[in-house]
Amino acid sequence: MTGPEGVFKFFLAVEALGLIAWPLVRKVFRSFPDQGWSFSKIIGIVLTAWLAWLLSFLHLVSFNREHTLMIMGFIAALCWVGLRPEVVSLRLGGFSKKSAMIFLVGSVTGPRFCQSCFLFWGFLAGLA
Amino acid sequence: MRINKPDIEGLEKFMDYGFMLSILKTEYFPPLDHYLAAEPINYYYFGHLIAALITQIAKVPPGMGYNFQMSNILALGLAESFSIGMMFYQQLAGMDVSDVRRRWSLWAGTLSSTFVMLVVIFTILSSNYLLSFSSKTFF
Repeated sequence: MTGPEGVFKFFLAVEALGLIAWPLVRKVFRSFPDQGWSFSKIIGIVLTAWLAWLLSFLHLVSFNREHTLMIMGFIAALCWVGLRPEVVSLRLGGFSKKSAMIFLVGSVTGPRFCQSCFLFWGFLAGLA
Repeated sequence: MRINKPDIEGLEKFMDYGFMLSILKTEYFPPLDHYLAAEPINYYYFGHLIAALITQIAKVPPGMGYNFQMSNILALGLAESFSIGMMFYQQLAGMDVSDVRRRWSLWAGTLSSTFVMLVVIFTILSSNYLLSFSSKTFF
Protein backbone atom coordinates (compact mmCIF):
# COMPACT_ATOMS: atom_id res chain seq x y z
CA MET A 1 0.00 0.00 0.00
CA THR A 2 1.36 3.41 -0.95
CA GLY A 3 1.45 6.40 1.41
CA PRO A 4 -1.20 8.55 -0.35
CA GLU A 5 -3.55 5.55 -0.58
CA GLY A 6 -3.09 4.93 3.13
CA VAL A 7 -3.67 8.61 3.97
CA PHE A 8 -6.87 8.60 1.91
CA LYS A 9 -8.19 5.44 3.58
CA PHE A 10 -7.35 6.77 7.03
CA PHE A 11 -9.01 10.09 6.21
CA LEU A 12 -12.15 8.30 5.00
CA ALA A 13 -12.30 6.22 8.20
CA VAL A 14 -12.04 9.34 10.40
CA GLU A 15 -14.71 11.17 8.38
CA ALA A 16 -17.01 8.13 8.52
CA LEU A 17 -16.60 7.89 12.30
CA GLY A 18 -17.49 11.58 12.52
CA LEU A 19 -20.49 11.27 10.27
CA ILE A 20 -22.13 8.43 12.22
CA ALA A 21 -22.32 10.51 15.41
CA TRP A 22 -23.12 13.90 13.93
CA PRO A 23 -26.90 14.11 14.72
CA LEU A 24 -26.17 13.34 18.38
CA VAL A 25 -23.25 15.76 18.56
CA ARG A 26 -25.25 18.44 16.77
CA LYS A 27 -27.94 18.20 19.43
CA VAL A 28 -25.38 18.85 22.16
CA PHE A 29 -23.17 21.41 20.37
CA ARG A 30 -25.98 23.49 18.92
CA SER A 31 -24.43 26.77 20.03
CA PHE A 32 -21.26 26.14 18.06
CA PRO A 33 -20.82 27.78 14.64
CA ASP A 34 -20.08 24.45 12.94
CA GLN A 35 -22.95 22.77 14.85
CA GLY A 36 -20.47 20.28 16.33
CA TRP A 37 -18.99 18.97 13.06
CA SER A 38 -15.40 19.26 14.28
CA PHE A 39 -16.29 17.54 17.56
CA SER A 40 -18.28 14.81 15.84
CA LYS A 41 -15.11 13.03 14.72
CA ILE A 42 -13.60 12.63 18.16
CA ILE A 43 -16.97 11.77 19.73
CA GLY A 44 -17.71 9.22 16.98
CA ILE A 45 -14.29 7.68 17.51
CA VAL A 46 -14.66 7.56 21.30
CA LEU A 47 -18.21 6.12 21.16
CA THR A 48 -17.21 3.37 18.73
CA ALA A 49 -14.00 2.56 20.60
CA TRP A 50 -15.74 2.45 23.97
CA LEU A 51 -18.57 0.21 22.74
CA ALA A 52 -16.12 -2.10 20.94
CA TRP A 53 -14.00 -2.29 24.08
CA LEU A 54 -16.99 -2.90 26.39
CA LEU A 55 -18.48 -5.68 24.27
CA SER A 56 -15.11 -7.33 23.89
CA PHE A 57 -14.27 -6.90 27.58
CA LEU A 58 -17.54 -8.63 28.50
CA HIS A 59 -16.68 -11.42 26.02
CA LEU A 60 -19.88 -10.74 24.07
CA VAL A 61 -18.29 -9.74 20.76
CA SER A 62 -14.71 -10.33 19.65
CA PHE A 63 -12.60 -7.38 18.54
CA ASN A 64 -12.15 -7.50 14.78
CA ARG A 65 -12.87 -5.31 11.74
CA GLU A 66 -16.26 -6.84 10.85
CA HIS A 67 -17.60 -6.43 14.37
CA THR A 68 -16.24 -2.88 14.61
CA LEU A 69 -18.05 -1.99 11.37
CA MET A 70 -21.22 -3.54 12.80
CA ILE A 71 -20.82 -1.41 15.94
CA MET A 72 -20.38 1.65 13.74
CA GLY A 73 -23.60 0.72 11.92
CA PHE A 74 -25.40 0.34 15.25
CA ILE A 75 -24.26 3.78 16.45
CA ALA A 76 -25.16 5.29 13.08
CA ALA A 77 -28.65 3.75 13.29
CA LEU A 78 -29.12 5.07 16.82
CA CYS A 79 -27.98 8.57 15.90
CA TRP A 80 -29.51 8.95 12.44
CA VAL A 81 -32.78 7.07 12.98
CA GLY A 82 -33.21 7.69 16.71
CA LEU A 83 -32.63 11.41 16.32
CA ARG A 84 -34.75 11.82 13.21
CA PRO A 85 -35.96 15.38 14.04
CA GLU A 86 -32.30 16.46 14.15
CA VAL A 87 -31.67 14.90 10.76
CA VAL A 88 -34.74 16.56 9.29
CA SER A 89 -33.69 19.95 10.62
CA LEU A 90 -30.24 19.25 9.22
CA ARG A 91 -31.78 18.92 5.79
CA LEU A 92 -34.05 21.90 6.14
CA GLY A 93 -31.44 24.34 7.28
CA GLY A 94 -29.82 25.96 10.25
CA PHE A 95 -27.12 26.83 7.80
CA SER A 96 -27.46 29.30 4.97
CA LYS A 97 -26.21 27.89 1.67
CA LYS A 98 -23.10 30.08 1.64
CA SER A 99 -22.30 29.38 5.32
CA ALA A 100 -22.68 25.66 4.71
CA MET A 101 -20.28 25.82 1.77
CA ILE A 102 -17.62 27.78 3.73
CA PHE A 103 -18.03 25.48 6.68
CA LEU A 104 -17.89 22.27 4.64
CA VAL A 105 -14.78 23.31 2.69
CA GLY A 106 -13.11 24.60 5.87
CA SER A 107 -13.91 21.60 8.02
CA VAL A 108 -12.65 19.11 5.46
CA THR A 109 -9.57 20.97 4.22
CA GLY A 110 -8.55 22.70 7.48
CA PRO A 111 -7.61 19.64 9.55
CA ARG A 112 -6.12 17.89 6.52
CA PHE A 113 -4.05 21.00 5.75
CA CYS A 114 -2.82 20.93 9.33
CA GLN A 115 -2.08 17.22 9.02
CA SER A 116 -0.09 17.89 5.82
CA CYS A 117 1.81 20.71 7.55
CA PHE A 118 2.80 18.42 10.40
CA LEU A 119 3.85 15.70 7.97
CA PHE A 120 5.89 18.26 6.02
CA TRP A 121 7.37 19.63 9.23
CA GLY A 122 8.35 16.09 10.10
CA PHE A 123 9.90 15.74 6.65
CA LEU A 124 12.03 18.83 7.27
CA ALA A 125 12.96 17.57 10.73
CA GLY A 126 13.98 14.28 9.16
CA LEU A 127 16.26 16.10 6.73
CA ALA A 128 17.95 18.04 9.52
CA MET B 1 4.78 11.20 11.76
CA ARG B 2 7.93 11.82 9.83
CA ILE B 3 7.78 11.23 6.11
CA ASN B 4 11.52 11.12 5.81
CA LYS B 5 12.16 9.19 9.00
CA PRO B 6 8.99 7.34 9.97
CA ASP B 7 10.85 5.06 12.39
CA ILE B 8 8.94 4.18 15.52
CA GLU B 9 11.73 4.71 18.00
CA GLY B 10 12.54 7.15 20.80
CA LEU B 11 10.57 8.17 23.90
CA GLU B 12 7.46 5.98 24.32
CA LYS B 13 6.94 5.19 20.64
CA PHE B 14 8.02 1.56 20.86
CA MET B 15 5.75 0.90 23.84
CA ASP B 16 2.80 2.68 22.21
CA TYR B 17 3.27 0.77 18.98
CA GLY B 18 3.61 -2.50 20.88
CA PHE B 19 0.34 -1.85 22.74
CA MET B 20 -1.34 -0.94 19.46
CA LEU B 21 -0.18 -4.20 17.82
CA SER B 22 -1.24 -6.14 20.89
CA ILE B 23 -4.74 -4.60 20.68
CA LEU B 24 -4.94 -5.35 16.95
CA LYS B 25 -4.07 -8.98 17.63
CA THR B 26 -6.35 -9.49 20.60
CA GLU B 27 -9.77 -11.07 20.43
CA TYR B 28 -11.03 -10.05 23.84
CA PHE B 29 -9.89 -7.29 26.19
CA PRO B 30 -7.64 -6.72 28.08
CA PRO B 31 -4.93 -7.40 25.49
CA LEU B 32 -1.70 -9.20 26.28
CA ASP B 33 1.35 -7.31 27.45
CA HIS B 34 4.21 -7.54 24.96
CA TYR B 35 6.70 -6.97 27.77
CA LEU B 36 5.38 -9.72 30.03
CA ALA B 37 4.29 -12.97 28.36
CA ALA B 38 0.78 -14.30 29.09
CA GLU B 39 -0.12 -11.32 31.27
CA PRO B 40 -2.66 -8.62 30.36
CA ILE B 41 -1.56 -5.01 29.87
CA ASN B 42 -1.28 -3.33 33.26
CA TYR B 43 -1.53 0.21 31.90
CA TYR B 44 -4.15 2.60 30.49
CA TYR B 45 -4.57 1.82 26.83
CA PHE B 46 -7.68 3.62 25.54
CA GLY B 47 -5.57 5.98 23.39
CA HIS B 48 -3.83 2.99 21.86
CA LEU B 49 -7.22 1.37 21.34
CA ILE B 50 -8.42 4.43 19.39
CA ALA B 51 -5.34 4.35 17.14
CA ALA B 52 -5.79 0.60 16.63
CA LEU B 53 -9.51 0.99 15.90
CA ILE B 54 -9.03 3.60 13.15
CA THR B 55 -6.16 1.54 11.69
CA GLN B 56 -8.39 -1.52 11.72
CA ILE B 57 -11.32 0.28 10.06
CA ALA B 58 -9.11 1.97 7.44
CA LYS B 59 -7.31 -1.33 6.81
CA VAL B 60 -3.89 0.31 6.64
CA PRO B 61 -0.67 -1.32 7.90
CA PRO B 62 -0.20 -0.69 11.66
CA GLY B 63 3.07 1.21 11.18
CA MET B 64 1.33 3.59 8.80
CA GLY B 65 -1.72 3.91 11.05
CA TYR B 66 0.48 4.79 14.02
CA ASN B 67 2.10 7.67 12.14
CA PHE B 68 -1.22 8.89 10.70
CA GLN B 69 -2.83 8.86 14.11
CA MET B 70 -0.07 11.06 15.54
CA SER B 71 -0.81 13.76 12.98
CA ASN B 72 -4.56 13.12 13.19
CA ILE B 73 -4.61 13.98 16.90
CA LEU B 74 -3.07 17.37 16.14
CA ALA B 75 -5.41 17.90 13.19
CA LEU B 76 -8.48 17.23 15.34
CA GLY B 77 -7.07 19.54 18.02
CA LEU B 78 -6.74 22.29 15.45
CA ALA B 79 -10.31 21.87 14.18
CA GLU B 80 -11.79 21.81 17.67
CA SER B 81 -9.86 24.83 18.94
CA PHE B 82 -10.92 26.72 15.80
CA SER B 83 -14.54 25.88 16.54
CA ILE B 84 -14.29 26.86 20.22
CA GLY B 85 -12.53 30.17 19.41
CA MET B 86 -15.12 31.04 16.83
CA MET B 87 -17.98 30.14 19.16
CA PHE B 88 -16.59 32.32 21.96
CA TYR B 89 -16.22 35.29 19.63
CA GLN B 90 -19.74 34.88 18.27
CA GLN B 91 -21.19 34.57 21.76
CA LEU B 92 -19.32 37.65 22.98
CA ALA B 93 -20.25 39.67 19.91
CA GLY B 94 -23.88 38.51 20.14
CA MET B 95 -23.79 37.17 16.61
CA ASP B 96 -26.14 34.65 15.05
CA VAL B 97 -24.77 31.11 15.53
CA SER B 98 -25.16 30.02 11.92
CA ASP B 99 -23.45 33.11 10.54
CA VAL B 100 -19.90 32.06 9.69
CA ARG B 101 -19.43 34.73 7.04
CA ARG B 102 -18.29 37.41 9.44
CA ARG B 103 -14.60 37.90 8.88
CA TRP B 104 -13.72 38.56 12.51
CA SER B 105 -15.24 35.34 13.78
CA LEU B 106 -13.09 33.43 11.28
CA TRP B 107 -10.04 35.35 12.50
CA ALA B 108 -10.94 34.53 16.11
CA GLY B 109 -11.07 30.82 15.23
CA THR B 110 -7.79 31.01 13.32
CA LEU B 111 -6.08 32.83 16.18
CA SER B 112 -7.36 30.31 18.71
CA SER B 113 -6.28 27.27 16.70
CA THR B 114 -2.87 28.80 15.86
CA PHE B 115 -2.26 29.57 19.52
CA VAL B 116 -3.17 26.03 20.59
CA MET B 117 -0.91 24.52 17.92
CA LEU B 118 1.97 26.83 18.86
CA VAL B 119 1.61 25.78 22.49
CA VAL B 120 1.73 22.14 21.39
CA ILE B 121 4.86 22.73 19.29
CA PHE B 122 6.60 24.69 22.06
CA THR B 123 5.70 21.96 24.57
CA ILE B 124 7.20 19.30 22.31
CA LEU B 125 10.32 21.38 21.65
CA SER B 126 10.81 22.30 25.30
CA SER B 127 10.29 18.70 26.49
CA ASN B 128 12.82 17.50 23.89
CA TYR B 129 15.24 20.19 25.06
CA LEU B 130 14.77 19.31 28.74
CA LEU B 131 15.12 15.61 27.95
CA SER B 132 18.39 16.14 26.09
CA PHE B 133 19.64 18.35 28.94
CA SER B 134 18.71 15.83 31.62
CA SER B 135 20.19 12.90 29.69
CA LYS B 136 23.49 14.78 29.31
CA THR B 137 23.59 15.73 32.97
CA PHE B 138 22.41 12.61 34.73
CA PHE B 139 22.92 9.64 32.42
